[in-house]
Amino acid sequence: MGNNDIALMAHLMRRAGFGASRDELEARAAKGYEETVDELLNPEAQEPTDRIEMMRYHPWTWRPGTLPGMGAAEWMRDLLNTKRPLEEKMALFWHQVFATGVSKVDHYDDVMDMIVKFRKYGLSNYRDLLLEMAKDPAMIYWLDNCDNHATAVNENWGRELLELFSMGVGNYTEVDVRECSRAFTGWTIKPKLPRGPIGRFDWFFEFREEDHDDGEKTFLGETGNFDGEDIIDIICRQPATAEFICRHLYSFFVADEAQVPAWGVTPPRDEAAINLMVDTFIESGYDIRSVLRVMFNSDFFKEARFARLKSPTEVVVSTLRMVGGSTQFPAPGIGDLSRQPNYMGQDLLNPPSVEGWHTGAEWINSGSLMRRVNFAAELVGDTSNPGVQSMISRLHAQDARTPEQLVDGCLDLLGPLEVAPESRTELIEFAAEHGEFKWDTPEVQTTSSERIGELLQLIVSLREFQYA
Amino acid sequence: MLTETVAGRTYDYSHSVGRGSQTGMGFSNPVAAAIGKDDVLFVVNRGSEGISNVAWNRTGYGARVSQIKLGANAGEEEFIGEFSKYGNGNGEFIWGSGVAIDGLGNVFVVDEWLNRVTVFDQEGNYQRDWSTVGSDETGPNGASGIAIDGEGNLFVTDGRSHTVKRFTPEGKLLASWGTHGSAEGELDSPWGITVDHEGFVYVADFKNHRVQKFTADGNFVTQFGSHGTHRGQLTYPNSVAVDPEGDVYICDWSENGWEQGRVHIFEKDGRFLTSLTGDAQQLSLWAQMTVDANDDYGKRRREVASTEPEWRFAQPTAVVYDAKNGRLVVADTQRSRFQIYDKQATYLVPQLNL
Repeated sequence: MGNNDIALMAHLMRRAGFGASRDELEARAAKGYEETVDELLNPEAQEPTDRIEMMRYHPWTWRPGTLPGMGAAEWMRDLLNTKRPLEEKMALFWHQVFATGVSKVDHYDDVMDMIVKFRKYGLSNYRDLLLEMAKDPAMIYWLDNCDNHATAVNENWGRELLELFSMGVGNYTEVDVRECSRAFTGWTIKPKLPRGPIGRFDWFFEFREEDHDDGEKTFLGETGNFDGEDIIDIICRQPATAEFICRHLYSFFVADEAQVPAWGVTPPRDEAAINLMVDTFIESGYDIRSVLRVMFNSDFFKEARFARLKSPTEVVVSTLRMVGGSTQFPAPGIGDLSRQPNYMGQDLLNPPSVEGWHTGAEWINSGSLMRRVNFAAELVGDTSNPGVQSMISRLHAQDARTPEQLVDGCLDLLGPLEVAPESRTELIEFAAEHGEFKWDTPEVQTTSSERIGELLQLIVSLREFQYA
Repeated sequence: MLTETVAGRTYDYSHSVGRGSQTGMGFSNPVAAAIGKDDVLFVVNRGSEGISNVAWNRTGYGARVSQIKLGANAGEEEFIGEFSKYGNGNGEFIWGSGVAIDGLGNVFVVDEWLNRVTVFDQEGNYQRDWSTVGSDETGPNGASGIAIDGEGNLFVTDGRSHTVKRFTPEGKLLASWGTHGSAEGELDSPWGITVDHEGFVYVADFKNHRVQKFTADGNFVTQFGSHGTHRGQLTYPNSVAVDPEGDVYICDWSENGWEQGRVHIFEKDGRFLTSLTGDAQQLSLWAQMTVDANDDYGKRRREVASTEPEWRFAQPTAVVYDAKNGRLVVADTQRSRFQIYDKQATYLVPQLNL
């Protein structure tokens, strides 16, 4: 297999997952690109992560308290260990779209229930997912549909359903918002036992017929005694919905787009790509898996290497998966690990607003960049980590000795990563400070390993490493 | 049901003790318990992680050993004190997972992350500790459950190396048995352990979904339960106790949302009797204090259709038989409380046509 096969597979695994070791990339490249895409799109063939380890060793993660901010610990453990990378990536995608946060919901387990639904429905039919979200207790509380009554309409859910979850601004009127909201009156949640004094309990959806406005409504040009399910059917039939969802998918998987609020005035980065995805979305009856298959196998996807800035979660998870080690067992500290994306600007299960996170260049500021660099540098600089040892072993096996060989070898194993010529020159100068790398005795092997760790630290500090 | 009579025994729900609390009058994910002198219950609280950006051994809180007098009836419980905390220093633990008390009242706490046994006196003063990792072991063994027999021998299960070890009270290894597997005598992630009055050793074979009975030398005798959710079947059994009559009590979980659990009761010969699912229809004294202090809690409790979800066990992780008082004490781990059942031999069942 050629280097391009590996580079292409690495690109796919960065986007459709959280990266992969060189061994895995080689195995997948040997199997084939389209075969790998199919495997990723059908995660059911792989075992899910086993929750029993967390229940046994970290019982506090079952219904975590909100104040410590560590309620994403179990999700972090899943992200780090999943054998279903695309399923987990889709959960992250939909969490960004249906952004719901513990800052208001105040129950991590209820927001986490949404993640479980994203795993179940995230690759399937968009209509089914939308209906699940309309009935989701955390969403209902987050967007006040529990305060949406037949006699006193609350438009929060109805408005965001149209603005942020399906069509985008400019594709509906204020009357549509009102009529949409009327259709969801009575879609609420049952009161649940309070969190004190013996812990948290589940929330359940409830339809209260007596609180539902069953009157005639006119929504997006159609008239009838619509309820919420009818509204969702009408929404799914709108071309604007297909465009909106496909643009979200493109921005998350292919290349950074403008922020969502600007979509009404900023054309897509690649209109032809969006059109292809939209056609697939409509022809397949809103099947997300079909859209992703077309997208991953397209030239526009394959040619978009390093066209996206990694999100904080991608930085944390892909680096940890790359270096391996203690994440294989739910060791103490999983709560702290789950906080790391937050320190870079992405507090999992707690987005800043219903609009989700602003992505792309907006992930970066002086503080978050230092966090990203320091986090990765600390891990790759620890040559006891199995993933780092594996890289060193490969360089040793290649008998890499010159600074050029070592720099190119490290760049290859960390990506393959393409860096600016001047960056490569500086890396070579650094690597050359202590002469050639030697492998002849255990002592010099240790020295070479440490020098490689330092070189890896420099590489993950480069601008190019921040891109996926 | 609060009272259940089966095969000549009656299990009569008594009361619950505890509430969620990081310190003092309450518990934080209690995962192990043992009864010491003067009816004091020693409880290992697993606690939770909650402190970020500190060293790995400082991230947790709520971990401690609580000393509680349960009392004979509801409202008579008494907080005696607590000792130890999260950490890897002397007298601390990271993942406390088992506790046993010897004839002198010394408290032995096992830590399944640090793989060590720490000994405290009955006031909670640190005495000593030792590693359970043998010289022939290549990695952590996840020492998780602990029991003491009538002669002072310590039995420790190793959850990650799938063995049972027998030690002297000073920590000298006397014997070891078990290998990873599912055949008779083999183990998969064993956890809770107890010794009956005849010296037989019972091991909660967590991932094999059964309890195995051994001689003190590790010879297989019999097993209780098989994998499943029907009557007499087990799902992740994690703790076992035996009463003086030989009845066997096994605590397990349910995979369905992980929010239910049971205590299964078997006769000595392995015949299944019944299961308890939790019956805490009234709040404990301390839990009621929390509700009384929070008006909205009280209001919401009156708004729910039923309080039944809170009656039930949620991942119970320890079962202890209090032989002196003839009662079963169950650690209702996710509800941070204990549920107590009296075992009665003289209960008279009223006529059915009342």
